[in-house]
Amino acid sequence: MSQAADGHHVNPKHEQSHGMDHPASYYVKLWALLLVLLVISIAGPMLGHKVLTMITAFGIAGVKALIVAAFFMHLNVEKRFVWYMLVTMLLAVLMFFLGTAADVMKYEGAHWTKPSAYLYTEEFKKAFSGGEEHDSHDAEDEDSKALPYVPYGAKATNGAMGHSSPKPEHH
Amino acid sequence: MWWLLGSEITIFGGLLICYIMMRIMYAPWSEAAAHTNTLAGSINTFVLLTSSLFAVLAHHAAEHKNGKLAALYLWLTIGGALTFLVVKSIEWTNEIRHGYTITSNTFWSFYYTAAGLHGLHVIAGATAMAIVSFDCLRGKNLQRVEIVGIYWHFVDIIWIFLFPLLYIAK
Repeated sequence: MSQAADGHHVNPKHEQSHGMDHPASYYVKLWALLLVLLVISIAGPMLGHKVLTMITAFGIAGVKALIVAAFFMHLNVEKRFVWYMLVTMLLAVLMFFLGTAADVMKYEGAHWTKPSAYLYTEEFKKAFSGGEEHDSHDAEDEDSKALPYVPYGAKATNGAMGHSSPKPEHH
Repeated sequence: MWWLLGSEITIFGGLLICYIMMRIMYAPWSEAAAHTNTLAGSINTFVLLTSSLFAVLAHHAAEHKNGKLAALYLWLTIGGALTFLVVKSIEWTNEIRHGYTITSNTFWSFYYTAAGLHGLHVIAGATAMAIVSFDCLRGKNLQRVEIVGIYWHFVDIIWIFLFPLLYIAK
């Protein structure tokens, strides 16, 4: 091959080592390995252990992705700048997570609340129902409908995670 | 191609990060996720992994200047793409018939958006491979097989992460 994926000419040494000196059976073996990993990830939840499910689901997904990237996409012999660029993009995603998680993964801050989020929390439902347990789904639905609206800018002092009703504070 | 894939990482990465944050925060999402069809997801994972094998074999054939064999493998890869879309169509039809639509709740909005965006990439990849395959038959532009192959493997990797997020972690 006289040209690389970006259209530039590459030297013969790089060309030769571009992963294609393997026989076709080499890729069939990798595919078989990927299928074994797929079966493990499907069977994982059957064990009924949450941590094991997470490992078999996401841990194996990471391994499968690495195998495809390294050997099918030939990143194992690709130029170094490609690695730098892809890792930079992954870091951008990480920065996005760090920048938004502080808001998205909280129900309230110093001067704000997220009323819609409260509707999903069991603690909030209990707070408004006086801490009583409800076994039936119908009762839970009724609690959800009865939840009062907490306006933006009103801080739920005891919070959805507390044990008493949040009372709006006007600033 | 690598620059394109770099931008794709931020698109899908942002989407998946949002999904993960919401999924961790809100318990009803796991209840909704329990209704996704694991069998359909597993079949599609198998199909995409197999199509990735065909894509790399097409690249292998192109490297050995065998344009006709490369074209054959590209069409087998396209067959995988079409199978994926057929399974996805059946799956979505079944879900919509059960009342799970893109407006049902935020989980289903994410589900259809993420899987739909991935589906569009599958269609784009299959189209590109079809175009490249015609050149392969004439023994021209064989280096393009590697480029479409790299794109296809990336589409496969996205699905590798969508599969546990949408179908396994319930």
